[in-house]
Amino acid sequence: MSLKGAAAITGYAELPSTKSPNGRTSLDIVAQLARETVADAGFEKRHIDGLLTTTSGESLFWPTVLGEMLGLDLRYFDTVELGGASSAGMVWRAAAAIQAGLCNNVLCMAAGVAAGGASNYGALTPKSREEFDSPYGVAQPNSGYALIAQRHMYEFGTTSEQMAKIAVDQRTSALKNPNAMFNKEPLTIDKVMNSPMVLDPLHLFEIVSRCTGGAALLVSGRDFAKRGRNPPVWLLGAGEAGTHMSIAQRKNFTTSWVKDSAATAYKMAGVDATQMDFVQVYDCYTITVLVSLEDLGFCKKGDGGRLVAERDLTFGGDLPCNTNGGQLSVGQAGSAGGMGHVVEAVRQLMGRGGERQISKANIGIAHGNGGVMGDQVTLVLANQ
Amino acid sequence: MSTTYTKPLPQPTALSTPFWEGARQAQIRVQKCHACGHTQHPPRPLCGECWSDNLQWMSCSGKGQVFSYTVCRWPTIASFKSDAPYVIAIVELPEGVRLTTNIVDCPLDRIRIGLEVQAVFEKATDDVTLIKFRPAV
Repeated sequence: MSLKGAAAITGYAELPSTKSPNGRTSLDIVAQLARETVADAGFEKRHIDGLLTTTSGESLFWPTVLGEMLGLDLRYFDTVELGGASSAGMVWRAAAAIQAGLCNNVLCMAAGVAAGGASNYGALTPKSREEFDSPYGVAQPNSGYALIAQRHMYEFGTTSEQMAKIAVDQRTSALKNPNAMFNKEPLTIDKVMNSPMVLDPLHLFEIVSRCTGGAALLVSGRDFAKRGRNPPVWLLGAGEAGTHMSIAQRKNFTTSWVKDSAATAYKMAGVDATQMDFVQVYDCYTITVLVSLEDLGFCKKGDGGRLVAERDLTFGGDLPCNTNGGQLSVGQAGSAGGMGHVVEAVRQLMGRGGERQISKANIGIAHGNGGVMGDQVTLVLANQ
Repeated sequence: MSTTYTKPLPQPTALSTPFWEGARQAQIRVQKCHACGHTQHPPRPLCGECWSDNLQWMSCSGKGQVFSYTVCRWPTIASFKSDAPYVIAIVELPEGVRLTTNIVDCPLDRIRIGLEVQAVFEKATDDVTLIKFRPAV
């Protein structure tokens, strides 16, 4: 059984990222996102019979809380808890529920409010890991990605300059994104290299900044997709893979589960990496993008450094990657971040990229990553 | 010492107490599955390979190798701020497990992947000893 063509994304909404919450709460962000997304799709509140969201940290029964607040009559609702892979994870779950006949229109929403200071134990250190990480001054996720980057440099000779290029190209795209938190100043490799070293080899400008924001989209069944306001963006393939919580448990640090999620998604869609017009890939750190591009099949393992150095990753380039600037420039609204990648893929495929529209955008990847490369979801999306 | 220690301390569970008890006795204790021979750390309620619950504790040699490392220069855990820069590492033991740990007594320009290291047992409080590593030679 395949999800190919079972459902399409019919509308979306996205809030501009802001450094401080400005009095906003997850609830009122979700309220705005729900209204704008459904209106964008050209449907009405009464058409929404499914709701997926990710953990908010605010409340148990979060999907129920949101459903009640929105006054929805739901047939399918749940939390998808895969960190930064949650949003991509919502899309295929929504399609599966629609294909199963449970519902017709699933609102997928992710909102995040910047919570002030960093947690004492790191944002991604679950209780079960605190015992073995925190006494050593390890705060996830920063440490885990630094350990992966160090290993990649050791095994393949990858350089800091190569990794920095990812942040630089993404910033070039971000200059055309009014919703991005960092959209005024271009970056250079020197600027990245001269930003403070946080955890060797990761510099400050290779690491996401927390922000307040959110994004949402609507997944609709075939019948609805054909009568919406927007050209539908079809789900052609989806794949999910994991698991590890601590990177220490992953035998090979430099080959990730992305390889597995991508293989499933490509097989379902009947395509490969060479056919992709763009890739929107989760970017909590530069190294995340580099490893993911390798494992998504854009080059062979170990050549990621050379790939990002030689190819132009901007929206006008020969390998458009994170054409909204990615989280490195947009900011990371908690686990809402991953929704920005899916929304940007949809925006490009609907031809609504504005000043940063990719000239040929018919098929592409939205990829989500959670934890320390622990949870992976690959989506292949297309506009026909 | 115990009254002034401000860093996070492990809260051992029934599952992990033998590990921390071992550390107090200057031993690295990990679980070994007597059904399939798999070794694992941190401790689990079952063997992660074959799901047997026939797990026994074994002591490791204390030798290891740096599998990967990073130098933390900007700690987010407040109580570590004055320690920066310090080395966070994944050390691989010949017994087949990896520990998240610190490398101590090592100039930063000496630290590298593959470095042979030896366990040191640092008493944090009367109740807790942390397992860290230093260069073997």
